[in-house]
Amino acid sequence: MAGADVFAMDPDEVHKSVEILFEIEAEVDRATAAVADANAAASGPLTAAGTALGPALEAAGEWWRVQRAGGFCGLVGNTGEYLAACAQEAVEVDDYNSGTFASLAGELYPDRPNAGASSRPDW
Amino acid sequence: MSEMTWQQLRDLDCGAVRALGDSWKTYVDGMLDHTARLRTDVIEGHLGVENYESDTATQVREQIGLTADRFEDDLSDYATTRIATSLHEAADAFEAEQGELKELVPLIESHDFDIEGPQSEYDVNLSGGLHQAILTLNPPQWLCDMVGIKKPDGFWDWDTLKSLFSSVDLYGTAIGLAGQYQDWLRAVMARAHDADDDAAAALKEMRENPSGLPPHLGATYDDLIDDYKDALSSEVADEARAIADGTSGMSPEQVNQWWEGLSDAEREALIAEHPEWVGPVDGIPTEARDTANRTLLDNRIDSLDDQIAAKERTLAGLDPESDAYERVKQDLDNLKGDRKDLSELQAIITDEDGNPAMSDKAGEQHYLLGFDTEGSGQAIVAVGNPDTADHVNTLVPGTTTALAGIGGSINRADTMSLDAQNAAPGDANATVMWLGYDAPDTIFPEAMQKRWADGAAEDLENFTRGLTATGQEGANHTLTGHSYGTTVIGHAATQRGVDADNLVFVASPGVGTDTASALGVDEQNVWATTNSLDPIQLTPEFLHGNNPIDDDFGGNTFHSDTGAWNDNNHSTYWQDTNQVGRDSIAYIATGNRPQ
Repeated sequence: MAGADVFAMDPDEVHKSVEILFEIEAEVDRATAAVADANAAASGPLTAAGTALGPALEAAGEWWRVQRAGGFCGLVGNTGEYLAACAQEAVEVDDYNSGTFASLAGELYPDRPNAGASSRPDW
Repeated sequence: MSEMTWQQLRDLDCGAVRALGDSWKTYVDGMLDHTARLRTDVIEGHLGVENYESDTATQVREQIGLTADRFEDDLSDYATTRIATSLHEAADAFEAEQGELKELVPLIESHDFDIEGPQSEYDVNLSGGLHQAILTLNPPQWLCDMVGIKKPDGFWDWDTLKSLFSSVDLYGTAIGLAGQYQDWLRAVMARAHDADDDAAAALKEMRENPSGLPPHLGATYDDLIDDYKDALSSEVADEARAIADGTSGMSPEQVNQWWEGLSDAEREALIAEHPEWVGPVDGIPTEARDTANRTLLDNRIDSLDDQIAAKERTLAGLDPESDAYERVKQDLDNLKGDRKDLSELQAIITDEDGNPAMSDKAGEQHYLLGFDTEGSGQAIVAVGNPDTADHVNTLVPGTTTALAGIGGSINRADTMSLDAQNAAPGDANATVMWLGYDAPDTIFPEAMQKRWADGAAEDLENFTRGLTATGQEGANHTLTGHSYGTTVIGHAATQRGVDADNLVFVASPGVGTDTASALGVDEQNVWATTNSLDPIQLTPEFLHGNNPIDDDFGGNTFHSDTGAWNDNNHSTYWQDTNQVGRDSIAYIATGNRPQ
């Protein structure tokens, strides 16, 4: 993305947004895992009872966890990491990748999976 | 495919299935708090324009908004409508059939019958012990009571001899009762398997064609975001098309939830631009279906006019003696027939100013819920709005009913609506004339066949479920069949299940089962009537089963008066000569019992 006529940023406020995004990502992931576990537990007896619902329910719960809630979490986390990199140094969307986060803002969010990637030997 | 046995159904923990549905709903509520927080605390809060202003900032705020929108749609369409609702519907259906099993299985066991065969076609047979008891002239007390003999208590006493002479009756009675229990058990399992398969299909279809997700911020974002927005703009249309095509796997209740989740603008656009995806769909509210179907009817008549004009031009250029002329002439006659039938339907439901017409007797508005010219034609017309009614009575007409002359059946619905008004003054009622199936054209051989009823079963099931989904909570629903229409109701009720509080069989040739217990509706709310001069009562039982006016069918009966001796007394039930029978239908349809 190119050519912003106006640019104003309060990095602290942007970092607060990042923290909220990461919180939501973690909380959605946790709650989804819980409902998916309950789903899997209930689908077992249904499958054993010869229902068509049992296997369909198990597949639906896993699909929801990985594809839909998982997709949402991925998007929220990705946006958070992008904003974290932006708050450290103006980054264009087109130039951004997860390595950018690791190199610019990873140390601020040490719990992120790729936060320390820049210190790895293969970086 | 559902492979549940009756024992597995009996032992299923429906409470756990329902509790899981509740868990999903609770989960959705929690997730919606998070999407709300994305908007209030991020987009409008810390990441607001006052804190971050640039083209990039605008783009990121939009991305977060798209992400929240997507998740909210997913939570609504998938987690709630598909998963939670499927679980609740399955739990309700399984529990209802468990209740039937709890009543039925002890009866089977206490009469010394055995359940045999695969789960799809259970047989209920006499046990070896029962065979032996009858053959040794020592029939059980219940069987003696049913046949009307005293249980023998000595060797070659008079009662033993009577038992010997009655052995054919004993066997016939025992086999007949076993057959009724077999019908009942098969119906229970058919409905349970149907509910199971429906729930599984709704979940499977959900995974087959999911909506796309917004792209991640990064190198390919600019290339992908426009595609995502384009797909988003056609998403509602794609969903509507899948629902109308029947490929969505959604139940009418789920369709209703989906419809209610659309914005007003989305609903209006669908009705205006794709009435064919709205008009015929069970679960979409009556007003919307009526508006869409009236547009479809106008369009169909216009299209027929164009086709007729084209055929007439073709015909003018052909040799009247040629085969081609005959073929085109036949096509032209068919088109003119369809044009005439649809014009008559339009004239009934439309007033002189082009507005929806009020019915002649009850003074209720007509609503068009469906029509088709295929086969002998179909039409679904409501007298009064079922969505706002306290009482909804759906009339299923029978043999020879067709789109041609549909006014007669709509007139009967109007009569029923007027009778219901008189039976329950002050209550809102609606009567639907449901010719949503291709009815038999002839008494012999077509009305002797069950295929017309089998073909209608799923559509009638869905229609009744749609009425429940769009109607008032707690509304009283009645299904009234006339002649072969009763057979249609019976097949739908036993094979698929119908959402109805009461069933009324008028002039029935049989409903495809020997017992009211198999219908999935409380036997106390199953009613039948046939007047004394109606030849339908001569229908042999091997065609469509026990006649529902017979005592051993297990339902209730009410009286209908005949017309004149030289009337066709199979068709006099809605005439003034049978006010007593009409009143009985009205009492039942308004939640009371015949007086």
